[in-house]
Amino acid sequence: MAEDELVQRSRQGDIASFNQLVAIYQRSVFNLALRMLSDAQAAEDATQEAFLSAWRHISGFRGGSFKAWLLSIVANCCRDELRRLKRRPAVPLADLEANPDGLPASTCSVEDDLLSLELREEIYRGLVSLQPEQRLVVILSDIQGLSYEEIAQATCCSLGTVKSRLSRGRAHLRDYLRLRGTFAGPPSS
Amino acid sequence: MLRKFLKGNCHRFREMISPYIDGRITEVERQALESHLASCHGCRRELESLRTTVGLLHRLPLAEVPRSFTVVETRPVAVPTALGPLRWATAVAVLVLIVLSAGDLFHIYPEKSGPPSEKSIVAASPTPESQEMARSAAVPSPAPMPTIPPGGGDKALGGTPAPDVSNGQIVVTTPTLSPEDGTSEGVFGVAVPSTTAGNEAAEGGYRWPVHQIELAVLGVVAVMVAATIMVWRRGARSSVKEGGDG
Repeated sequence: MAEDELVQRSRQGDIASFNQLVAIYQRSVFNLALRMLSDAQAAEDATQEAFLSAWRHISGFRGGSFKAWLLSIVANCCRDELRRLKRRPAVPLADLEANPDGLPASTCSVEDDLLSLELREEIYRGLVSLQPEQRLVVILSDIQGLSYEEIAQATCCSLGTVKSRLSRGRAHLRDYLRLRGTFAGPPSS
Repeated sequence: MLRKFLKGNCHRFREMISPYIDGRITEVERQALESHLASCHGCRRELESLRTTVGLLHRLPLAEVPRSFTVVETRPVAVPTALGPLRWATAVAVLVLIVLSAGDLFHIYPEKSGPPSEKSIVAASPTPESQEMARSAAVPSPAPMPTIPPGGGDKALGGTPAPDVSNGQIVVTTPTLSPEDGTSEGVFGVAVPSTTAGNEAAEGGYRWPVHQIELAVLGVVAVMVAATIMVWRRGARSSVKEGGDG
């Protein structure tokens, strides 16, 4: 069944159709939450909350990209969680070092072999070092593969802001990796 | 100087490198950037390092979901809100206020009956209409006869001639108006107020406390409008926060 039809049926209260959409997008939603929060349990909670919120407010979906709309909801859940974490002690660093994905080893796919564990760890640490809004845009663009327009919809900001945040986020991540020796050669002037 | 100019030029082109990697710059910008890259070693390094960074991010694996996130509710739950009832209550309160004000404007409420107080007689100011009304409305009052000193009636009642009872018959005199104090002198020289029904109503002469009720309803309307706006704004914020801009 086409996505538009599933959305239309969901708006009419068909939970089976909505759960088909959940099955399609739950990996993207969970991964965004995981990369934003760097904590598997918090990401799980944020994902569940995002889907419940989407179900409750699906009548308010006014067209456009459904994936971007869904990701905007989980991004809001992550912002709330990050604000809450700010008031609490952060995730212990040792946890991240032991498990950069924030997940038990059994949940990682075979694709993980494409990058070494050490490099992935550095990249995730680099992402955590970005400002939350830059991190969100970098994840949506370079990990989730959204277009600029979808990112603008998901983050509720203009295309110019998306370009600017993406440019700065990538440059910051590059500088972080360069400082850790992932890139050869001195920083460009 | 030249170095500073070139550095500023590079800064302008480096802003374009990230969207250039994504193919999100115009044809003119692309040609200008590629022309600059051909002659600028620093910007070429910048492009390569950013390309490598983006390439690494693209190669990051997506984690598997630890469980299914399917929703088990049977239907969308309507979030209860006070906005609906509050909006209706505000509308009703506004309607009541309008009806009250209209009634007050057209004097449809019953007015106070009975003799006006002395205070209202003194306070009443004469107008040509009121004078005319007073002349026509002056009727003999069954009130007790004023005590008139013998031969001193003129003095005691401000120059009003005393009723002639010499022939055993009361002579009714035409009421005259005293322009100084705004009261007319009726039969037997008793002062009659020159107020009208309209003036009574304007001074709160209704049988019911209409003006107080109007003020109270106005207060209620103001409070309800403020509460409605607050609830509506809170709801709008919550909706944007939870539902994004979809």
